[in-house]
Amino acid sequence: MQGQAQSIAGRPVVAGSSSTARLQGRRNAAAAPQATRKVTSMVAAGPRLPKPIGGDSGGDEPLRISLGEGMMGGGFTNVDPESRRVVPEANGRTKLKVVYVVLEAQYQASLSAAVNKINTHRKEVCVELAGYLLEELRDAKNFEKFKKDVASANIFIGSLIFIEELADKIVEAVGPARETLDACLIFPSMPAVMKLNKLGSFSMSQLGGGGKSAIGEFMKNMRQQNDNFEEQLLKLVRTLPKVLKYLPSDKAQDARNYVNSLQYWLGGNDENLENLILNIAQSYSPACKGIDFAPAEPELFPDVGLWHPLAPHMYEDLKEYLNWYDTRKDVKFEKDAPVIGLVLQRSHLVTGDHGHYDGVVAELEARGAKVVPVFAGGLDFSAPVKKFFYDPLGSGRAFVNCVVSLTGFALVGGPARQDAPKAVEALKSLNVPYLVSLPLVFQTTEEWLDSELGVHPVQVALQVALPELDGGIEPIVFAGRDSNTGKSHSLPDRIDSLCSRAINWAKLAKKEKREKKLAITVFSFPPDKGNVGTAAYLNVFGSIYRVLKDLRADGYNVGDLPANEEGLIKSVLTQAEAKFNSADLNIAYKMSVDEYQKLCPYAEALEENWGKPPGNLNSNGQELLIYGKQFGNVFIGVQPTFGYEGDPMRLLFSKSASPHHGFAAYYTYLEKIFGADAVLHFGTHGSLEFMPGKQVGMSGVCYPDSLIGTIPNLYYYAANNPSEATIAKRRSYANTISYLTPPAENAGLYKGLKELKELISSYQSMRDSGRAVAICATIIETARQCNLDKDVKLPEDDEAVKNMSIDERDAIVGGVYRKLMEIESRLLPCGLHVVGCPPTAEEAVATLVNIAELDRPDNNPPIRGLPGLLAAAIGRDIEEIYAGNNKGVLADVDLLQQITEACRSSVREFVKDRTGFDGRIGTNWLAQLSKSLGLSVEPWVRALQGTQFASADRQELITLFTYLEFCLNQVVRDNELGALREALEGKYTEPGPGGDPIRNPGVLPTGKNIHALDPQSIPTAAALKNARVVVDRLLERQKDEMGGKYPESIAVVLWGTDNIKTYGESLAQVCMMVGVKPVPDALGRVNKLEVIPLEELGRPRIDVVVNCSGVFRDLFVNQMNLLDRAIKLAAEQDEPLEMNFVRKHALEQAEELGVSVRDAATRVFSNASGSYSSNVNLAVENSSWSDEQQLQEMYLSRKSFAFNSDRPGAGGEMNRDVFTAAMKTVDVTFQNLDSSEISLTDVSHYFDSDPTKLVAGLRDDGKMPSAFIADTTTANAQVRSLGETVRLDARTKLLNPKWYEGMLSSGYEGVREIQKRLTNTMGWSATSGMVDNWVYDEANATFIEDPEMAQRLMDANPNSFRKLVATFLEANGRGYWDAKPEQLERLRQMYMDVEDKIEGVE
Amino acid sequence: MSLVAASLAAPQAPGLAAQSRRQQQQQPRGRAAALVVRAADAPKLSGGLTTTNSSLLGPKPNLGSPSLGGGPSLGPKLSTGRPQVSLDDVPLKSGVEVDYSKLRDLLKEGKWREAEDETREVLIQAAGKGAVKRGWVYFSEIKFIPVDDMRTLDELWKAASGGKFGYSVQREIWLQNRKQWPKFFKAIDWVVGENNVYRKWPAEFNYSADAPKGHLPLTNALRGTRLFEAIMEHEAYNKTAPTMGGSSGSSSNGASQPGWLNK
Repeated sequence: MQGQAQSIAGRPVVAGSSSTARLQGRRNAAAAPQATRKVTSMVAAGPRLPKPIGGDSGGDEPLRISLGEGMMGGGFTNVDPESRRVVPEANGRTKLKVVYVVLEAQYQASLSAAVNKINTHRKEVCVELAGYLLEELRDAKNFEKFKKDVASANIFIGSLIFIEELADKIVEAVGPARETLDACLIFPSMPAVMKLNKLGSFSMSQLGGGGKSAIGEFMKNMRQQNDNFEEQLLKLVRTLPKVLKYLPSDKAQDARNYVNSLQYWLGGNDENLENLILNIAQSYSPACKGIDFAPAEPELFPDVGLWHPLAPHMYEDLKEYLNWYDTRKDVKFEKDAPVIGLVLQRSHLVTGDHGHYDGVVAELEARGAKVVPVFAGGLDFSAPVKKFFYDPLGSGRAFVNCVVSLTGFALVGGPARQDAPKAVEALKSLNVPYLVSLPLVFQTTEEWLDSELGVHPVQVALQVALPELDGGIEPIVFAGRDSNTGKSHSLPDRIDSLCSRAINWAKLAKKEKREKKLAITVFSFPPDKGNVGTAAYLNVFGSIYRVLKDLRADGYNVGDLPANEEGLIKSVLTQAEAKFNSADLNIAYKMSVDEYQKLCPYAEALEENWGKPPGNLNSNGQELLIYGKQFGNVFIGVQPTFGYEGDPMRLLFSKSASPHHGFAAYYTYLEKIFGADAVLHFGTHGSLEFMPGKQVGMSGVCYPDSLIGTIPNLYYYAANNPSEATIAKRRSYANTISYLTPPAENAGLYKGLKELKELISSYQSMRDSGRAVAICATIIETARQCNLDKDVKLPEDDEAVKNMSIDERDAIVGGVYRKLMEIESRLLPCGLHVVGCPPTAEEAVATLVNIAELDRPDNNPPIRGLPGLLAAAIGRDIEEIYAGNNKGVLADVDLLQQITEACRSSVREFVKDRTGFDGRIGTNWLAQLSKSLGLSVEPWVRALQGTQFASADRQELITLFTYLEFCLNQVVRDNELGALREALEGKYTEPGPGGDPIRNPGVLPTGKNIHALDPQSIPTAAALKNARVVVDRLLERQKDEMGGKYPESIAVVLWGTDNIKTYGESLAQVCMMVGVKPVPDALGRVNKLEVIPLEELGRPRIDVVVNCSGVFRDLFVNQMNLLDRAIKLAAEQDEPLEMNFVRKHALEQAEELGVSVRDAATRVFSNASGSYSSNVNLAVENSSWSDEQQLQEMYLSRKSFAFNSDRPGAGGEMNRDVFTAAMKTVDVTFQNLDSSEISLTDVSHYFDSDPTKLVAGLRDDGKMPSAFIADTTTANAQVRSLGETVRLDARTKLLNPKWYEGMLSSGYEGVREIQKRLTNTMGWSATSGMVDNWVYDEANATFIEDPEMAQRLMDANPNSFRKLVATFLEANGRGYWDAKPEQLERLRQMYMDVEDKIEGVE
Repeated sequence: MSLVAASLAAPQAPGLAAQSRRQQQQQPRGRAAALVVRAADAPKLSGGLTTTNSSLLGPKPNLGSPSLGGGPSLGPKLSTGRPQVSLDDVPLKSGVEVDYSKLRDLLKEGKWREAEDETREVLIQAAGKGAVKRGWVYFSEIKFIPVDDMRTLDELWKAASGGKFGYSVQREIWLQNRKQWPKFFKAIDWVVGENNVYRKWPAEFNYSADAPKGHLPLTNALRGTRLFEAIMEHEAYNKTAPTMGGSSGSSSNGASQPGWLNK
């Protein structure tokens, strides 16, 4: 890592040939001493390979370490394949050369052993063996060597080659050599590689036989579905003898040899592999002609079975296994010992590479758990799950209490493609916790330990993301890989952690409910008493109260519960003994420093950042304080904060810190003193999972892993936030349980806006009369009062109106009307959700209307959106109406409004029809009765009758409403409390996608373990199509505003969340900007690129600067790779510079910085590994910043870590020069809004990632870039300026009575939500300057100048109200709000009042 | 916390070891052959074997010391008392008819590396037929190894090293480090570097009298630390009852407390 490894002994260390890095190195030569340690350790302890030390350009830098080489050219693995080579002493024997490429390193050791045996014992022949692991072929040097090896080989063996770019390389190398090879054996792989098979006359494709060709079928199936291929291959092996009868005998012999070879291979041990080589040699090597090695027949092992390191053999029956197991004398188990089911990979067992499995079995048994280890040879592990994990006596119940897969693969499908529904079905029926831990596959132990990324991204995609779709939890790396032998081995501390966690999960099923201890953890940030219990969209204390009542009814001991939720809040927030309202929360436990040090094994490591315990956070100076309150066996605790929010220096410089002692003490308390059986993190989201450490696949020194310790972690998480939920799952081992976001409503109109709507109605009815002019003038005046003048172009004065034509007036009214409707129809979550409380049918209407609006061509059957259907009924095209509306054409605005109203009323009628008398969804028996009598018409037909849309296509409507019916049932069918109860009983939590319920109703019902998506599947074709629309609209708009000129560079922000929800739309936008199209490979994984020719693009390639969030980086490293390749590809197109801005800028920067064009075209940036956000949000939320300069410095220092597809293994490398150079050229900044629920001022993350003012500061001309926000939340996608979007957001939320009254119905939490919106608004002032003065004025009028309102806020949550008042003063102090003296005076007075109230001075 | 013993420990060739053992079953007393195969399997051996000058090791006869016939004084205390005992004075007691003379001779000749291999071999034999067939010892088998055998092994190493090496010496350090493996491995120098990467077996371990206290003999951590723990907890080195079968995993509050918390 360049950023870290800057200097050794004060001298700059230079990264290989990259002079950028050298510059960087010099500039940062004063880097932290830490960096020195890192480099030193890589030299001393890193992989033991010759390091290119000493350099080519000598001079003043005596020590040159190629950091690139530290990761082998930046790849992910750097074991030299040479170390695997076996070279025999021929001693006059015939020498054969065998070359192999495998995915599974476990074959390495047994192949070496097999060849060593041949070389030791055989008199006629000896073998040279050269082996490559698939991933190593990415390295150019390795690939060259590989090609040379293959060219001189006699026999080539390849297995499990399913990564297309590497498959291509193998075809490239082996294809030409196929002629000269004696034999070429390819075991299950991609079709293109399979075709390389060569055994005499045998080749995969020609094997036909009479009529139906088994292999032909097999190949076809494989192309079609790509899954189950290994199972099919095994089936083929079994059926082939029959097929062979139809073949001419010589061909049959060759085919038989192939089948035999496969059996040797699947047998995998050294004897089998020895015989495989000998058999092939005697049959096909001319040099061995006539020799009979008398190889033994393949030794066969069961495909599926049970295994134990001490067992005399494998078992194929659970009863037989248990018969043996229960008579073991070496261990005795308790009668009610937990039983852990283990899922193993057969190839590790047959090749004898099972040291890591032995370790897990030993650890579990040593901890008193029984084990049932099962294996499968194919890729469908659901078979052994179904066969061996159930009660052998046939009760139908699970025999195991917890399943741990040690394969790392999805339960069904392995490395090619998974079948999650099949897996989920098997696991749901078994109904126990399902953990998927993984062995290192592509990296050696040392490489993993050294890596800040953690596990190799390809492995993350295959072995972390895919198992998550099955509901797998806890991706703990339990096994390392030895660089000498390629063998897997236990990572003792990881196995310790995995096994104790698995047993604790299993124990949940064993323990009595009455005895079970649950630690509910709530959050509090920014650190302020008013913020205790923050969570997105959630009424936290209301929900906790509901959960506790539910648990009490279920038999848990929840002690003396307060009478209501206010009582619950008070018990946590206030110190019972304190005389006054104190600043402190209730102290649940005081931990002495001595006890802390004894109980917390990593306490010492925290001292580097925080000094000796107890420190001053969560401490009284002598002891560490645990805040919270215990009720029976339930503890409600407050998670401490990061601790550095208020420290600008740390915010600026800490690339990664560590938790403070108070944080460590909290989790130590939960595990070691309270003795929690499970912890429940309550709501989205806390700090634990964002603590420093590897991104994925943590080691024992990563803080989230240390903190969570051995406690099973349940986590209520908002269903619409799959990206951060995924971080919580991977880094804090959470089993998430999704909760619904609050019911959405249309924002509606209020005050002046409402008046405007009425005026427009009058105008329409009197448009031709003499009064039209006057009404138009009033409209203009009112619009101005409502501050709409920035959104709609209004004439200067009344005189101007008088002279207008009717068309001109229409245009103005149309513009205002359009804006009003935009505000009115905006969806906003109203109030806060309470867990387990589904919306009423009425509340679901707005959501359903939005669901009904979208076309769903991919649905089966395809669904057309309601607006489109209605438009068609009157002979119009909805896209055309949208376009007219967007331009403010009055007739179209009005028509769209009528369509919208018709949509709403028909959906409302439909819902009414489905609603029981209690307002909940049920069967309305009256409706049912009349329907059965044939008396009624469909409700939506009723709604449309008498309107111009009555003739809408009935069949299409039925399809649509059938779908809506399904959605409606899903919305109200939540399992939020049920899933928690079940998880606490040690049951499986069903997985489900996270995302926007409107786009993807599959998110519903809630109460599921959230997963993201297969990261390799995006961007989808649909996303690409939508991205094109947005990019075109963006460029058009900018072009309009810039006098016909295209922007040269766009700074884009990429988030994980929106890419998950939209299947990669914003990712695709970047590709579209530079004019490169991502293309899927044969297995549907998007990893190829095509340049769109300029003629087709019809415009210049626009340069980009891609700012990825830390979450995006964690989830989509492969996509960062794709983007970097796409941008560099664009930069390398030899095209006129005025048509290729990427190239234009890259050439300039290459010159300026003295680097290659390719390096200069570095455009994909994010945080350093393990660090998130620019910290601008923390600084703003805590008011801990001096000036904007400081915020911009934070952004620069934290977000300028470049991703480089030429060195993917290096992760993010500090590359501030290139970042700055690229940002200087930016004309436009751009972000996406992905759902109506998370808008600009709802979360602090949007302004945190906004670089608008930063760009202005960097640009040579100091010009403020245009800032745009794409809004694809509705069918009619919009690109708005940032200013427009901020105004829209203020109007629909902060200033909208419907919104704030909804919030205030949740009291304490509601005040905080209001205050949060204001703080976030000020954040926008700080980063973009796009907040109008009137927004602050209006907010002040609403919340401060209205005495009644002010009093309500103060009473409900004085701490948050104080912050609200302070934020107004701060906005004025920083020059964002030009307030009148009396406004300020009032605020100051109010601040003192609330201070008094908080201090208890009444 | 900052320590992690991540990689593996010693023998990397159980397959070969098992193979050699199979041969050995055919030709009784064929252990030498087994060692030959192993050595051949490790051609990349460097350093480590160089310091074989036994005069450096100082196993000077100390005839004045008390008999080491397995008396109660052989607890952990002994390694601190450290009376110099001659290798020849160590009685080669075995409750399971394992012959320890070869180990003694290798130690006497200062062949640390070979003695190290032999130790693993005799431990497998002492652990019983299952272990021999498997080629490695499962942790639960250790408790069946008689106290005599475990003491003999320990005494031989201590005698040869002047009290520097041996299981009881390792146990003492292990306890000092509150049974925390990462710290313990660091203390006996089995890990290197900032990330505390396990030394590569066999080449990177120090087979000499210069090695840090407790560095030898090696115990394989390829399969986790339970085997090593079982050795450390063997009653030969521990007067209190051995605590196996989930001792450290279960405590009153159901949370997994490290065992030392209860002490």
